[in-house]
Parts: sequence; structure tokens; C-alpha cells
Amino acid sequence: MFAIILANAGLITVLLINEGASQGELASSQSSIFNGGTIVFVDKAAMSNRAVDEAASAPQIGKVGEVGKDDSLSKADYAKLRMAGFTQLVAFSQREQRFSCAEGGNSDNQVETSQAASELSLLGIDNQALFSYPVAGDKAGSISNSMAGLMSANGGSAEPHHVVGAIHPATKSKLGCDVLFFSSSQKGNKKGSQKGSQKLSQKGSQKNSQLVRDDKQDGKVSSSGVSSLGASSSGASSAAALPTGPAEAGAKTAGALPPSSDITSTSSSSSATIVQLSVSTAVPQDTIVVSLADFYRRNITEATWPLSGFLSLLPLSQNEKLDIQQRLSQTVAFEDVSTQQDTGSLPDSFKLNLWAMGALMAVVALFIVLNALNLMYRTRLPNIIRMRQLGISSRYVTTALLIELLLYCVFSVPIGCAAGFYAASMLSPIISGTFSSLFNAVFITPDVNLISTLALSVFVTFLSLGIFALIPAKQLSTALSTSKVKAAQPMRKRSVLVWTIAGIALLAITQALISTTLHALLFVALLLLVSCSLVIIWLPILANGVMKVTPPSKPVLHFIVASTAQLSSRTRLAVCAFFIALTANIGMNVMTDSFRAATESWLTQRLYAPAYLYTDKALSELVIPEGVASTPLLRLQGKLVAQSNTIGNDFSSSDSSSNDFSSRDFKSADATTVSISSYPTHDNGRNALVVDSSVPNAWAKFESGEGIYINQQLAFSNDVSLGDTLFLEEMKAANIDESSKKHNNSFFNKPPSFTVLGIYPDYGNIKTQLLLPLSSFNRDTIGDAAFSGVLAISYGQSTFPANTPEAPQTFEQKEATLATQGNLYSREELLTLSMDTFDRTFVLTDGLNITTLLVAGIAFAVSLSILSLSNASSLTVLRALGVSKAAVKLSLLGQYIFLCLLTALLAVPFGVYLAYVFIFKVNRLAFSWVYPLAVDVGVIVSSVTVSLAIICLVIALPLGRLKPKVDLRQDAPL
Amino acid sequence: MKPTLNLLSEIFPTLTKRIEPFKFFFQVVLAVCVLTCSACSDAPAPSRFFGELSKSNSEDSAEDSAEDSSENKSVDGRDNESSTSSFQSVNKTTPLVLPKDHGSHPDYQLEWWYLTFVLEDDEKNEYGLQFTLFRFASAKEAQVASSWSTPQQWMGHASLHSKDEHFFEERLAAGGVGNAFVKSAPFNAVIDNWSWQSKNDSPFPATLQFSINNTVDIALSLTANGPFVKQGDKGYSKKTQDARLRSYYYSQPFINASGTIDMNNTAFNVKGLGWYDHEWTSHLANSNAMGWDWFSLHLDDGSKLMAFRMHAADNGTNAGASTINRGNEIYTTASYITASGGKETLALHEISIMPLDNEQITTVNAERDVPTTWQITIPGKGLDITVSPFKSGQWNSSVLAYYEGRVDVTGTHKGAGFMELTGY
Repeated sequence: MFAIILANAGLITVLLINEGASQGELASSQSSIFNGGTIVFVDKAAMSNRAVDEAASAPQIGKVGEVGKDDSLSKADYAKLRMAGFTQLVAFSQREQRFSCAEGGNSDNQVETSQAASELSLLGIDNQALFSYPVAGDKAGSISNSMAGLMSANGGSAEPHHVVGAIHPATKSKLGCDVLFFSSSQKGNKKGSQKGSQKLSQKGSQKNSQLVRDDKQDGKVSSSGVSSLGASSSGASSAAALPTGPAEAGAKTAGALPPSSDITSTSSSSSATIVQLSVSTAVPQDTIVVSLADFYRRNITEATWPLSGFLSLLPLSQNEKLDIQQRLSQTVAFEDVSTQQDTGSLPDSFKLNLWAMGALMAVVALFIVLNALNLMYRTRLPNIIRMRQLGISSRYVTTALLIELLLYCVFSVPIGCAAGFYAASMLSPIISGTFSSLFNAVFITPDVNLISTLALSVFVTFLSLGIFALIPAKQLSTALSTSKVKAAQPMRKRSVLVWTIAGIALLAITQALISTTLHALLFVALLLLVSCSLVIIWLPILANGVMKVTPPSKPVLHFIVASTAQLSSRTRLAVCAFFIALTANIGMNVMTDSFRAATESWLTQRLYAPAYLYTDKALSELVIPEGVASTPLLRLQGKLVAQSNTIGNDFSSSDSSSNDFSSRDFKSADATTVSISSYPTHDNGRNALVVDSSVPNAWAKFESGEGIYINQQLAFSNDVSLGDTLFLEEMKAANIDESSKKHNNSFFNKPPSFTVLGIYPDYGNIKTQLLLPLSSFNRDTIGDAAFSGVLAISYGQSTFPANTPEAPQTFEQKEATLATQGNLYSREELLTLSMDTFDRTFVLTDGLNITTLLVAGIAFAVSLSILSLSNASSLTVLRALGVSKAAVKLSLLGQYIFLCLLTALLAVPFGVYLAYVFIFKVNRLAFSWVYPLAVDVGVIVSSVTVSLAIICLVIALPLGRLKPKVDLRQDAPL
Repeated sequence: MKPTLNLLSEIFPTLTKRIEPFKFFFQVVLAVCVLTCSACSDAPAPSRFFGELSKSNSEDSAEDSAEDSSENKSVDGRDNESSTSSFQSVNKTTPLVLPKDHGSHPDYQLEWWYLTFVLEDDEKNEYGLQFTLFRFASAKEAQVASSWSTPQQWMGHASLHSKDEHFFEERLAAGGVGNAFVKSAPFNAVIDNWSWQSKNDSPFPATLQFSINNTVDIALSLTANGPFVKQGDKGYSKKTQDARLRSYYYSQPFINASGTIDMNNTAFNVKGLGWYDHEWTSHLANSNAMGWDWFSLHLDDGSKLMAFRMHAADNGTNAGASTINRGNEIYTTASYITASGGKETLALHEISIMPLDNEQITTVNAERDVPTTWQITIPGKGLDITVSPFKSGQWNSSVLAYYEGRVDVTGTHKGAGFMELTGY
């Protein structure tokens, strides 16, 4: 019963975390209303955004003050455009607003503040336009559906102080309440301190952008150093542009609004607007979306707070943009807020990990339950035999046992599920955030139905248990005497040896045959299975071996070992569960550790410049202070259409499999999109480039433009090896839209050679990528278009690192100048940021690991304590011999720990092997990149210690209750 | 059996005994249950768009649906009552006046301008075309002052049926923003880029231009070759015998339409007949309890027939319903319009509208049993016709889902027209 609860709880926890994580990842990276397709931001105020962002550097700052009612986009402009057929445009307006949680947001508006106010951005959109836009695809549909909660008559809510707002689940969980309220009068408080309010909104947006950044980093953390950071930054900075939208206007509004007393005088409660929250993943984080009708309430009017702009639900073509511009009297800016951001492969691999954990958990759970059942039947064997002897047919007994099982399932599964839900929601705020979305999803998608989940788990649990338990149940119920039910005899040594060799051989053979991700995953299962059976075989032998070594002069120690040997054959299933959990734990830890180490060292090397600037500006517009060397990152995109392989390739490649295919002469590859990045050819660049393998003299050739470096992803997924030549077509700048296609020639000073000189690791990147020397790019023609927004900055005359003893003032000035043009990060900041994100991502995995281990440990302990009951007679003998109570207990504990140690000993090699499989098979095949396996003894020791500690802790609990008394009545022979 | 029971009784004590230590878990369960429940109740019901609207008028409708004929209130008495819900009511004393009433009536809760066309192209392919603009107002109590929009809500429906394709699009817009309105003098009905533009205060002649889902573009010029027809009693149209449900209603059944349709990037000319209905009311919005079967037919002798039958919505109309109690029918009336525009309102006993055959219509959310073949008999006019759908599945899956489609007329008269079925 307990075992079933436990197993279910664990399983549900893992599954839910899994589901939660994947949904959360998806939610945060996709289907926001801001990146459903490309959103174009037609905004007069866009200029001012940037101006506010960038303090006082840019020349267009002069315009900021003029952003007012006259030249901002108006309702009339909106109507004009929509009537002209631009029905993909949706008007929106946005302001920063302090929200407080409301408790009991009831009709009489008695709101109590329960938490400190948090600043979110309030986004008003023309939800009706959004809702009615023809469902161009699933995305639009999902947007419409999730926004349906916003829909009410007139787009406003019935009650004057209530509005319906949509919020991202993660944000909601962060706030921790269902009802928010904000007080419009707060704006009044800002009156007179324009500067202050401006600062405030700026701060808000800063925070916002930081969050967005983190978000993207999740997906991107370890992708190819400079380039990926560029991508994440562009996402972040453009997102940052949104919240700041009305920042300047906000400052103005603050002055324009009547003071708070005016508002409160109308009615004592009217100053607070209550927002009833509904959850939608289409909403950006830290934003509350309301209808525009609700946005423009009371003293907020178009005059005091103009529209922020129009969102476009579909990408606008160049012609459409021109058309829009022509129809509007004022100049508008178009911003591609977000082209579909890559989810990145880290969430993917993370998901894979989670699924692996889930599967492991299921196996562990099954073992646990079976073990528990076995033990339970065993303890009740005398009763059953009595019944059988009384003439009750075995059919009845079997049925009864199965009914009992069903009852257990019915009772324990919901408890288990509930415990699982609870545990999952407790585990992390991120998860609980997704949780609320899960609960809400019940209403949107009938798939996630609590009741059906429960019914399903009851059914599945019972079915699997029924099938597996039928055999022992049947066996038991037919038994007429104890003598027939024997514990399995330990195998003979020779057969053990044969089995071991066979098992290892099987693994070795299968491993060689792995060619797809599925195979690799199946192989993991096989590995666990084989190792499990080997453990079952070896454990008694090991125990016996130790027993032989143990000197008989120490009887209690001898007893411990002997008893362990006896236990080991009877707790096989529990040991298996524990073993699997431990193996997985070690495997995962080793893998994560290797990954972390690899990423860190690689990042450290790759981030060569002391600082990096992320900016939205065009390269030619950037003002680089004197004495600062900057290296821009240029990026193009091309289609790999073909590749030729050199015959008789004698370059060595670190990866054996890619050499197997090098015999072909010419291979036409499927047109894969390849990202082409520039790479500086200075010394620092050379030092920073980490390669797996390269041709002799690769750097010199690269410098002279004779070849390229490619990443592992490209090499593995397209079977490219050293010396191959790639053929690329349809090259275009990644950052500009298709209409301005340029001829290939204009990209480069001279046509570059695409011969592969080296392969470099590119951890976490999902894209295939190749590096071209920066010098071969024609900066004059494509500098702006291909500029990825990332600039490597080094202070001092291209001396690295920046240890030139410069006057600190000038240094700070330089930094300030740069910082106004974008986000300036020092190398250390970037490193910490990345590694933090990395660690945060794996906190979840750790949590799962420990959960699995805990569950296995508890099960192990339970089965042991039940077994020790059956062992009571020998304990009694021990007590009778004069061994103290404490010594008996200690001896029992010793047994268990000994057993655990033995298991752990066996788990270590398999754990390392598992890590190897994860890295070089699963990751390699699923994501086309590998990293070196770093077996750190410390990591293994710590995993084993933690596991043992957990076990000890768990075991110590039931042991305390055990009363080894002198009592010989228990052994009633039949 | 007994042994088994004994065994079970042995199991239960063990079970409870084992449960006992896990009180903690029960607490957890309790907590989770509470959490779950609260999550359930708080969750935003995917409230359909006009949920608020119908709520606002629910008191009114509750009375409406209760067939309480013993309460013999005068129409005006009821008006006073319903005026608490802040809308103008339809009143015999305030007659319908044209051309003034072509425009919008924002003080009434619900209004629509409805155009249907039976068209054919040069190759005699037939099409059914619908263009409708709805206006909804939210009740005054529910209105919140907003500088962005007025309490008016606009909805446009466009639907085109060819023999084997259906295009439908729904547009929503808030009033007061400027992208949806109906203006008189000159008459102009607009939602986004869907436009019905006349040169004077009459809706005809006019041009009608709209697109459906960016795949169909329609441009028609409309002329009227007959008079407007005020339905019911000079435009005061009863929907129930006791006039609890009523509206202002007039039609223009004599529309000639010609123009082009660009469908899937193929443009072709079309021409045919059109029918225009304009109806406004504050007494129909809640029709949850009932639906109507409505017909606008162009008969080949030049005469027109508008007929409708109010029915209880609950169970789909049964084809085999007894002819004595006329199924779940609530009220039936019709206007027989001669080719010259003369109109005769037919009373309940002068016309029979009976379902002949049902059609299963499967949409994403539901499967519906909709009576799509009808027999309409008007003994006094020697009219006995069968109205059958032009094609199957002419269902508009919109916020307010309903059947709207072209029909063929056979029997004593031939012809074509449109049929609207709601409440299924």
C-alpha cells in the first residue's frame, strides 16, 4: 500500500515536473502574443523608447519631448489602417503599473493588501481585433482561445472596478494571487517628480529585460559563445523596448493626471481597480493584458496616454510597410519585436533528461511495488496456507488477493497522485507556476484532466501490478505448505560468470549498433536491465565473499555479514530499485558535471574579450570611443546544398563514426540552413578557439581565408569531416528581411573557400554553424545588415586583457559611452550569468534525482524492515546470547549499510557507463554534439555518500521501532 | 463465497492499520483537494463572447421564456418593466420610419443588417452569399466609461458557399474606435475593410465589398427594383403570440446584385438576387431557450416569401413530430410579398412550416441534428413547397453558431432563397 502510494507519488511528481517543465519551457519560449509569428511594432514612440533606454547619447533624443497627443498614433489611425485592410494590426497601449495582491476581491471592493506591490506592465490590447483575426494557423487560434477569457461585452467587465486580465502562469505564481488590484491614484503620487517616475519605469523595464534575458538564456546558455549571446541579447533588448514604450509618456502623464484626492473624492473605493486574473501562456512575462477598453478607464484617456503602437499578427512585407507609412501622416518605426526565437537545445536535452528520469522512476516504482507485494505475500504465507489447508480453492484466494490489490490501488493511487502533485508544486516556484497553467489547461484542453489522470493511473497501476503480481499470488495461493515456497537459490559460480560475460558482451554489441536517438534510449534501458540482472547475480556472491573473509572471531560482525548475504538474495527487487536509482544518480551527476566543466572551460576560453556590448543599433551608427578596440560579430545564413569529401582522407577526426563515411566522393546533402559567423583572426581569437580536431596548420590557413571551422553539430548531422568542402547557396544576412537580398559577392571581399579546417565544440547550440574569418567579410556592403548586435570590446589598443593602466576616469567614460548604446557585459558577468542559468536548469534535475533516490531508499527501507521481522528469531537468539539491544540494532543498521555499500560499489561503474552513453550516444544522436566525459571521483563519492545518507536516514526510522525482545513464541511451525 | 469474505475482512483491518501512520498524507491530500477545488472554481470559464450580455438581460429573459400567459400584462406595461434594463423597447406607438431607420439604433440592445444573395456565375454555377453586420449594446448597468470604445459591439459575418466550398469569416470590433459603424446619409455599413457603401440615405443602390479569410474577394453592386417591405404590423414584428419577443423589422427582397467574386485567385462574374433584412430589438437577445427557423425565398413568379417559425430550442425538431401539436413550435408567421411589392402578413393558422428531413452536422465541438428540409404550405395562396438545402453542412461556426445557407424551392412554386436555423 505504502509502496504503491510512494511509487505513484514519485511517478506523478516526476511526470508532472516533466510536463510542467516542458510546458513551461514551451510557454516561455513560444506563443507569446508578442512572438506569435513576427510582430511588427509600428510605433512613433519607439524612438523615445530607445532614447529613454540610452539616456542621453543619441541625437534623436530631441524628439522625446514631442511625443504627445498630436503625433502619436491614434484611434483614427488605427481605424484607418484596419479599414484599409490591415486587419492583422492590433492596437495596444502599455504602461508600468504597481499591482498589489488583493484578498477577497469581492463586490464591495474591500481590498486588503497582502503583499508588497510589484511593478508589472499593464498592456491594453484591442482584444476584439485579436479575437476575430482569421485563424491563420494554430498559433493565432491559440492566441484567440487563450485571450477568450478577456472577452466580455464591450471588452470591458460588468463591474465598474473589475477588469479581467490575462497573465503568464509564471508571473502569476510569482505574484501568488488570483486577484490583483492597482490604484490609479498612484500615478498622482508621482506628480511633481517626473524624473523619479521616469527612473522608476526605467528601472521596471530594466528588471523586465533582465527577466527576459534570463528566460532566453535558459534556452541558450551554452550555445556558441559570442553568437548565441548575440541572439539572446537581441531578444532581450527588443523585449525591453516594449515595456519602456510609454515610459516617457508616463512621465508626462504623471503631470497631466489629477492628484489622487480628486479620484478618491468620487468614491472611497473607486481608486482601486481590481484585476481578475486568468492565465494564458500567450501573455509575455511580467505583463498583465487587459482589453483596451479597460485600459482606457477613468482618467486614462488617449489624450493623456497615447497608444503605444500596433502589433501585427503576421509579418509585414516591405510593401505593406510602405503602404502603412503612406497612409499615416506621421513617421512610424517598424520593429520586428521577435522573430521566432529558437527554443535552444538545452530545454530539449533537459526534457530528454526528464523523460529518462521519468522512465527510470517508473521502473524503480514497479520494482518497489513488486518487492513490497512479494514481501507482503510472504509474511502472510502462513495464513494463506492455513486457508488452503482448510480447503479453500486457490481460485478464491487468488481472486481475493487481486481484489485486495485493486483496493490498494484505488485507495493509494489518488493519495500517491495527490502527494505527487503536492511534491511537484512544492519543488520549485517555476514548476508551481506551470502548475497553475496545468490546472487552467484542464479547461482549455481536455487532455490534462485530473480525474482521467487519476483513473488512468489507477488502471495502469493495477494492470501492471496485476500482471506482475498474478504469478506470485497464484504461486502462493496454490501453496499447501511452506516448504514449497522457497527462496531462489543463489546461482553457481560458473553460471554467474557466464551470465556476466554474456551480459557485458550483449551491451558491447548493442552499443556498436546504436544509430538513432531511439536506439540510444533503448540502449539505456537495456543497460539498466542488464546491469540490474548482473547485480542480482553478483550481490549474493560478493556478500558471501565478504562473509568468508570476515574472521569468525568477531561473531557480531560475522553475523552482520552473513545476514547481509542472506538478505541480499531476498531483497533482490528492492536492491534493484535502489541500484537503478543510484546508477541513474551517478550517471546523471557525472554527466552534468562533465557538461558543466566542459561548458565552463569552453566559455572561459571562448569569451576572449573583457567585455561584450549587445546593441540594437546598426554597426555604422555605433560610437566607439577612442582607445577601445571592437570586434563585431557578423552573421549570415546560408543553405548547405552539397559537400564534397576528399578521397583518402587521412586527417584524423576525433569522432570515429564520421570517418566511416568519408569514402564517398560527393554527397549532396539536404539543404540544411547553416549559420555563418564571423571570427576574428587576431591572436586572442586564435587562443579562444577551441577545436576538437583540425588539419595541420589550420589557423594559418583560416587566417588567409583558405578554409573554415565548423561546429560539431554541422559535422555530426551532415557527416562532414576534415578536408571536406562545403557548397553553400542562398546566403543572406540573418538579420535583415528577405526583400533586400543581396548577391553573394557583396558579402565577401573575395569568394571564400569552404574547406573544413577544423571542428569545434559548440555546446548547447541547436544550429549548425561555421566560422569564416572576419577579414573576408566585406564590411562596407553588409556591415549593418549582417551585424548580429554583438560587439566584442577591449579597452586599450587591442591589447588583451585590459590591464593597461589607464586613467580610471577615461575608462569609466568609455564604459559609459558604450553602455548607453546597448547592454554592456563584462566577460565575468557573462560567465556568471551563463553558469548561473546552467546551475538553475540543473537544480531541477538534481531535485528529480534526489526524489528518485529517496523513493528507492524508502522502499528499500520498508522492505528491509519487513524482512527483519521475519529475521526476528535470529535476533532473539542474539539477545538471548547476551548481545545488548543497542548492539542488535546497530548490527541491523550495519547490515543495511553494508548492503547499500555493496550496491553502490556495483552502481559506480554502471553509473559512469550510463553517463558515457548519455553523452556520446543520446546527446550525440539527438543534438549532434558531445563533450568530454569527466569522471570526477569527488562527484561519484559525493553521490554515493548522499545516497547512503538518505538510505541511513530512512532506514534508521523503522529501526527505532523494532523491539528485539527475547521472545521465542513467534516461530510457530506449521 | 464465505472464505473470500473472511479474507477481505482480514484485509481491511490491515489496510486501516497501514493507513494510520500516514495521517500526514491525508493532510497533504486535503490541502491538494482544497487547492484543486479553488483552482477549478477560479478558473476563467472560457466565457463565450457575449456571456455578459445575456447575463445583463437575464431577468428579462427568465420571464420571457416562462410561458406564463396568465400574466396578462399590456405590452407597454412590460416595457416599463424591461426599461429597467436600460434599453429602448420595441413599441407599436413608435413606428418604423424610413429612410431614418436604415441607420443604427444604439439604444436598442441588438440590431442586424442582413444581406443574403443567391448568385450564379457565367457558367451557371450557383453560389450562396451572406453578409451580415450585427450590433450589440451592453446594458447600462454593465457599461464602464472608457475613452477607447463605446458600449457598442460590432460583429460581421461573411459566408460564401459554392457547391463544394465554404468560406466563412467573423469580425469583431468595438464601437467608437472607428473601424466599425453604420452611418446613414449616406448609408455606410463598415467593419474593418468590409464595406457597404451607398451614395444616399437609402442602402440601395450601393456597392458591397468584402473579403473572406484573405482567400475570397467579393465586389458587388446592388440595386433595388421594388419597395422596402415592413414586416409584421408596419415593421412591428411579433416573434411570439403574446409579443413578448418582438422587433422592428423591414426587408428589401427585390435586390439585383452583380459583380465579381475572386475565389482562390480566380475571378469570375456573378449576378443574382439579394434579400436585405434590417431588424433591431431589445427583446430577442436572450434566445437561449428558443431558436428560429427562418426563410427568405425568391419564387420564380416574382413573388417573395419571408416565413419564420419560433421553436423551443431544447431538443432538436423531430421530423416525425405530430402535425397536431406542431412539434416544439412556439410561433409561426410569414409575409407573402407579391411581385409588385404588395405584402400580406400570414397568421398562425394560414401557414404551416414543417420539418421533413434532418441533417447531421458535425462541428468541432458538437454533433447537431438540424432539420434542413422543410415543407411550407400556404393553402390560401395555393402554395405547397419543399425547401431543401443547396448543399449539406451550411453551418456557420462562429461565436454564435447557426445554420445559414442557400436553399432550393420545389413544389407548386420553384425558386431559391436562404434559410437560417438557430437553436440547434
